[in-house]
Amino acid sequence: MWILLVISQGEIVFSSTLSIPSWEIQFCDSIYCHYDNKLHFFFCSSFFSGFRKFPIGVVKYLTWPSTTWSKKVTCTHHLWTIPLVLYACSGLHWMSFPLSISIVITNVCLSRWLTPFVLNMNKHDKEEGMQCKYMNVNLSHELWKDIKFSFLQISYDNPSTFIYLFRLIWKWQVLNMLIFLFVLLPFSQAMFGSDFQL
Amino acid sequence: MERSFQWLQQKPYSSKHYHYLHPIISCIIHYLLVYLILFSIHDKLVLPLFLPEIKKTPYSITSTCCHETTKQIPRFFFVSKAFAIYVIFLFSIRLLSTRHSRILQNATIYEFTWLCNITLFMGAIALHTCRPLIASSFCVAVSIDQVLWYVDIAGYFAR
Repeated sequence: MWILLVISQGEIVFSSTLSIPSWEIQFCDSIYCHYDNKLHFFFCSSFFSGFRKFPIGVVKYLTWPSTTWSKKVTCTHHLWTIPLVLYACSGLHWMSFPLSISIVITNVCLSRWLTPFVLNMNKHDKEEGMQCKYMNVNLSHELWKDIKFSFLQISYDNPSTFIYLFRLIWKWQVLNMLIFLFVLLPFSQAMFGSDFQL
Repeated sequence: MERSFQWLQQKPYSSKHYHYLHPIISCIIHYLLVYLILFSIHDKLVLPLFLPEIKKTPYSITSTCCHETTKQIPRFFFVSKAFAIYVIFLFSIRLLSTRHSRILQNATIYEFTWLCNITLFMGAIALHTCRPLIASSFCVAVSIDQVLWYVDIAGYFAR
């Protein structure tokens, strides 16, 4: 963790002392500083809090009072689905990424069409302390409420459905592409080589 | 037809979300459309255009493996069965645990359409029918969420 901190601080010192009078470099530098400060804040806050909370927030829903015990028991597939499929397929094919784009678009649009944002609880359930059940399946109505990073927010100006879905899908694809190029493909190549057969 | 579409469309606070029919029908339609769209794209667009040497029977739910001797086939069937058993377990236990509340049970049915659950179901079908590209594509689609799960879990237990 300290190594990450030192690296992060070192990069800030480097980028903030860069003063070449070229607008392109200053522009890039300001973007770099913006995201670098966010990373620095993320690592510092995570470190000093002792990491006794979830740094990103995708798992935080397990701590909600409305989350049932069965959902906690059956959440482990988030950790073993990808390794198991990579094992079965002996790696990844490059066509997986283009095909995954159609998967995301199909599922997000269907969820927006078919699934409500929240379900209001009835009198009996309210007595158990729940006002409504948060659904937001496949993030089709808003970004997941536990994710607080401002640069990921897409509902800041109350956009129309089309604009919201467009923003969601392209940001989702950019992040998926980064994960595909820098995590999944290298891992697949290291573990399985190029054995993938269709 | 138009009425059916209107009825299927979710509406905030509509009474149809508090009966069993809408969650069940919308869940089935979601899975069916994902299956038809993705298998069509895979069999009729991706394979003929980019990988013409591979031939698959469209929508086939029986094995269409063309590399019967490859070492992957036993793995396909093993992982396919594992996914199928786990999906049945996951759906059953979640439905049973919420049987005291109709609204929670309806919410559970709606939540079966989360992409990670669909990945398990479609992964089982895709691997059973020897379409590994579909299974791996679903994994890529959920990769941002599932990789961040590792980050969150590691962060929580890091100290």
